[in-house]
Order: sequence, then structure tokens, then C-alpha cells
Amino acid sequence: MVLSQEYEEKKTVEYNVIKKTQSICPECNRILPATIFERDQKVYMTRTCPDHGETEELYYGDYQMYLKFSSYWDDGKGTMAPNVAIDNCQCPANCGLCSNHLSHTGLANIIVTNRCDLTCWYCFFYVKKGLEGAYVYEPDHEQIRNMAKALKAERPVPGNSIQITGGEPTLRDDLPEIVRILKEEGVDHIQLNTNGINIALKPELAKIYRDAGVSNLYMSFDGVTAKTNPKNHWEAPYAIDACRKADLGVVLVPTVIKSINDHELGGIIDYAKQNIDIVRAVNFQPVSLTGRMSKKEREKYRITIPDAIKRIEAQTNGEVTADDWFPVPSCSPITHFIESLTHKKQYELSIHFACGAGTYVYMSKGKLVPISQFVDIKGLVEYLDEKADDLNSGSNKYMTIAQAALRINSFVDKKKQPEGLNLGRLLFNALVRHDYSSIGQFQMKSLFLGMMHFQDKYNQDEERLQRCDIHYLTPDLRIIPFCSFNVIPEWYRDRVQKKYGMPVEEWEAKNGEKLEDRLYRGQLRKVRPGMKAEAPTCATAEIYQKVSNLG
Amino acid sequence: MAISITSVERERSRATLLSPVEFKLQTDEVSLDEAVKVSVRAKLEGGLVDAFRRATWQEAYAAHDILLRLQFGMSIRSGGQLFGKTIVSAKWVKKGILFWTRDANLTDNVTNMIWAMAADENGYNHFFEDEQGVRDFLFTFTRELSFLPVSLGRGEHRLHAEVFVKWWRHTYIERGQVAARSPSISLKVR
Ligand code: SF4
Ligand code: SF4
Repeated sequence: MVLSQEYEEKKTVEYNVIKKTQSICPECNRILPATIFERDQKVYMTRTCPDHGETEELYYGDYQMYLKFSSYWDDGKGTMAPNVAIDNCQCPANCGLCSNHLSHTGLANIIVTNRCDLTCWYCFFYVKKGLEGAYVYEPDHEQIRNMAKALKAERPVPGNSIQITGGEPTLRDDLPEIVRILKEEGVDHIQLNTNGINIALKPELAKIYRDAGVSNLYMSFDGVTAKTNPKNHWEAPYAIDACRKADLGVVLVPTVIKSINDHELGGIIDYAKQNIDIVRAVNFQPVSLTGRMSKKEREKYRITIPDAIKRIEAQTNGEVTADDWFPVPSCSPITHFIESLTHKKQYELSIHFACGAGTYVYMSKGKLVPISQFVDIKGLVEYLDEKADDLNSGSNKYMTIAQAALRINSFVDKKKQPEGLNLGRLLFNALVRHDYSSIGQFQMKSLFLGMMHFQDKYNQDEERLQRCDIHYLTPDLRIIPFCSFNVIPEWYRDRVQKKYGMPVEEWEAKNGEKLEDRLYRGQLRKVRPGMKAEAPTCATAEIYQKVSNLG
Repeated sequence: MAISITSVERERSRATLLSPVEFKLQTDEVSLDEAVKVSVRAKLEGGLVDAFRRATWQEAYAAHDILLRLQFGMSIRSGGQLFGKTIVSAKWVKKGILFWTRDANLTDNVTNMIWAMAADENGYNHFFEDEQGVRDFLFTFTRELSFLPVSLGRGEHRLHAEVFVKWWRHTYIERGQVAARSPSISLKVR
């Protein structure tokens, strides 16, 4: 269906139409033409379903940031080993990956269980006993090995990074064995997505996971008060402490919901700052609105990347400003330069500019100094683009390296650069000599602040989806983009889990335990009068006293 | 043995030219402390312009050759070619970026999915619904500059504009550069 001429004209007159794309009807999943437009300095998406009418949704909360970020557009190389060979591109109907997908896998998720030790009312990711069609999904070792093989078979860039996810993956007692299998298959980076509760309860797990090969924890952390972070407010500090002792890095992952926790983004960064010796990153996730919601409700909770970035500027008292953020594909010129130098296809972050953003902040004299405050990032990436063009046009490689050696330093403002840091040298070593040894030192005193806005049925943009590089591996050896897998679970997640899972009752009989046996009983939560806690409460623990915003 | 020449190779062999450079002064007489406003307009024609079109976009995209960078340069000079001096100059980059469009009006979703957007010198992308729009935006420029005539000094001067455009090798064009000079015009500084 094409939008009517009359409709198009009306939109053009009232709004500034930016471009056309495709989306789905949130009611019936029908694929529809969609228009991205600007109104009052915000960016919206609209489409009209012949059966269910128009859906208009906030797409990006700041038009100027949209313009700035869109300038880093870069379609990726995709992957040459599609599982779904298809000419007719019909996103999101043929994911697997299909031959039209534009990014190789950046991070592959493997769900190892959909059981969880919490029962958060808003979560759709765990098996709910008693619901019709509730299946426990736990792929076995052979299936997991085969999924890793499918990832490593991607060409031209074999996948190399896996996130073990759930449910709550630590409920699988064979988790160390699973990690070892992934390692045996040659996966370098293994991230464990967890609520941290089991690690808080059994701190020795952190070392066991680390020794098995886990690179870092990806831990849910929605706020610095018990009200905003009911999930693991009391437990997170213990989990972090266990990781500190095991030297296992932690990424804090707040889901940001307008009117719920969007006032605590600065507090979360502050908490990461207090734990910078072990917290490597904070990855904010503006909420993806699942389930049926009225427009009014969506407006209440919807927050987009620019909105969160602006709140961070306000809540860090300007330590991290809106100008310090760059969209994920801004890294592409670095990839292109290295590819031109080495003639080898490199791992690239070619997602859509509207999907994610990030910045590095360096800790200096108790303050966070964003990298963009002492590096001319725009100038540097433009220079690398030009040098990649030179190399691709036949310029002498050694001459180009010599020029780069002289020039790269000029993009670093040495007066503003934090003491003890020589970023010019570090960049040259990494870009030209492919020596990444000193990057570790940089990371020790720095935090990566990232943001990814997972899509939902109301704002889904097929242009974004086609460029997605966060994927799921499934036992049928498909590789499915995150925002298909979770946004249309009836086509992907639920079908896979039903096909490869077993009814709850069958799982309970087979394993001799009840699903609820492993539910968390709140042992670490605040001590109430007359109750004895297994460990000191977080509220009194020194580790939490440092958090300015403690509720 | 027959040699087959693909359409792309034919495009590569055609020369790229710069149109005559239009150079205008807002006024032909100024005082020493008054800014001189000039405008320069030029247009690329031939080889590269003809090669950067839908028929070649698909092939270039398949080779992951997706970014056409054009470097523009311009200077306003006084005096002759040998002994003249540069009064003011500017350099900037525009980009043609090939991408997989999901605009149903531009693509049939099967064979012709690749479209081009054009980025201005600030990097901001502009979308066009017709090929000519993309080409006009990329390959034509009008640039306005102003300067104080102090470095010229009082008297009668002959000014001209020099312009160059540079690009790199792609599947549809060889690396190249073109330059041109406008006719001289007089400026009187009081
Ligand atoms: S999202 Fe990717 S894998 Fe899914 S149908 Fe679109 S191009 Fe294919
Ligand atoms: S997971 Fe969703 S938000 Fe992230 S890159 Fe993929 S499509 Fe974009």
C-alpha cells in the first residue's frame, strides 16, 4: 500500500517530511510504508494500516541530534552466508539472517534458559508457570555448540562475541560448562547477562565464571533507589564486590523509563564512577514498550536516545554533555581505514544511527572527562575516511602510515588531555600497528557510556532492523535480529521456545524440582525487625553509602 | 579475442570537466573597512557526473563502494597567475552515500534497492526523490564569502576565483581532480 497523494501533501504542508521507510502495524504486523517527519524539533514516524488506522509515534526526541547523528550513516558489509536465501526483501518476515541483511553479527545472544529467579510483572522473557503454553526452553550442550559454530561460520567476518542470556542464566548449574563450550568453539568475548542475585548470594560464582571464560557481567541496574530498582537494589553491590574480587568486569544496564527512573541517570553514572575499578560501562536502554498500550500511556513512558542524553547532561551537572555523544556507526571510518591498510575485512559496527550512541569518559581528578572534550572526533574520522580513500586509490601504504603518524596527534588537545594519558600514541598503535595492549590501561580509568533503544511495535523501522547487529542464535541454527525476535515474539521467540522447549510439568518431572523452588526469597533485602539477614543489608553496607542518591 | 567494454568502463573513460566559473562581486567599489562580498558558482560535468547514477549505484554497493567523497576548494586571488596572492580561501567536503532504501516509491524491493543521499559540508544528509536532485546537490556549488580588503590596499584591483574539485577511485570512476579559473573582475578600494 502506498500512502495516498492527499495524505502525503497534507503531511508535507504541516510537517517537514524527512524520508520514507517501512514499518509494521502494531495491531496486525502488516508491513506498511511509513514516513519519518519533523514537528516542533522532534522526529516522529507515522504509518496507516487499512484495517487499524494511523499509528504515529515519537521516533527521536531531538531533531538537531537526529541530523547530527544521521551524518554517520554507513551501510555494512552484511554476511555472505545467509540462512534464508531470498530476493524479495520483506523485513521483518524472513529473518534468519536473510540475504538482504546489512550487518554481520556484532553480538549474538544465546538464551540458555527462560527460567528466572524473579517474577517481574513487566517482563516477557521468562516462563510463567500456569500460563497456557508455558514452555521451559533450555538448549542442550550440543545445540549450544552448534549455535556457536553457526556464528563462527559467518563470512566475511566470523562472529566472535556472545551474550549468554535468559531468563536468568545463572540458574543453569552447568553454566561454566556452557562457557567452556563457547570458548572451545573460538568465541573470544563472552558476556553474561544477569540480575546478579545468584552472584550476590554465592560470591564464589564470579571466579568460577571468570575462570570458565566469561569476559564480563552485563548486569541489570535500573536506578540507585529501592523504588527505581526493585529488581536488584540490595543485591547489586554484593554482586559487584564479588566481581571485584574475581577481577570480572561489570557493565551496568539500566532500562530507562520516562516518569519512572529517568531522574536517576546521573546517579547511576555516579555509582559507576564510584566503582570504576570494576565497572567498565553503563549501557542505558530507553524502554521498549511491549504489549498493547494507548497513545497516552506511551507518551507517559516513552523516552528516546536524545531525551536520555539530555537528562544525563543535566544530571551530571554538565560533566557529560549532549555534544559528547556519537552514534554507533561513527566508528565505521576506523574500520574502513584498517581494512584499506590490511586488505582484510574487519569487524564493523554498522547499525543504524538511530539505534545506539555512546561516548568514552575518562576519570581525572574525580571528574569524568568525555573523550570528545580532548579529541576532535569528527575531524579524526573525516581524516581517516580521506586516508582510506587514498589507500583505495593506490596511494603508497608506507607514505600514508607516515602521514597518519604525524597527523593523528593533531586531533588530540594535549592541554585538555587527562594527565598520564597519551591518546595520540594509543590511537596510532591501535590504528596503524594494530597493537591494542595499551588500550587496557585506558579502559582501567575510563567508562564507556552507551545507549541502545531497542524497538517495539509502535516505533519499529525496517530500515533500522535491516542493519541490526545484535542477534539471537537459535537451535535451528538461524541468526535472528534482536528486534525481530523480541518485537514480534509470535513469529520468532515464542515459536522457537515452543519448538525446542518442553511443557513446565514435563521439565519439573524430568528434573525433580518445581519451577518456583529456585525463586529468590529476598535474603539480601533490608532487614526488617525480628528478621535475620544472611549478609549485612545493602543499606548499611559501606559500598552503598557512597551513592549520593540512596533512597 | 573480443574485448567487452561494460557500461561502467565506458563511463570511466569519459572526462570530467568544470563548467565556466561564475564569479560575482556584490559591489565593485568599497572602502578599506568595508567587507567585500563575493559569490562563486561552478558545476561539475561529464565523466563523474554521468557515472554517478542509478545504473552504477547497485554495482558499486555490491562491491561495498558506498561513499563518494568530493573535496571542493576555492580561493579568491588578486593579480596575475604567477605573482598574484590569495585573499581568502575555503575547502569543504560533500558526500554521496549509497544506501539500501526502504522507500516504496523508489524501490521495487527486489532489484533496485540502492539509492543515494547527499551530505552537505556539515555532514547533514539530504534525501531526494529523483536522481537528478542528488546529482545537482552534489556536483553544483554556489559559495559566498566575504573579506576585508585591507590586504589589498587602496586602489584598483583585478580579482579572480580559482576552484578545484577532487575525488578518489571508485568502481564507476578513476581518481581525479579538475580545476578552473574565473575571468577577472575589477574592485576599487577607496
Ligand atoms: S531484518 Fe534482516 S534478516 Fe530479517 S528479513 Fe530483514 S534483512 Fe532479512
Ligand atoms: S537490537 Fe534493535 S535497537 Fe539494537 S541494533 Fe538491532 S534493531 Fe537496532
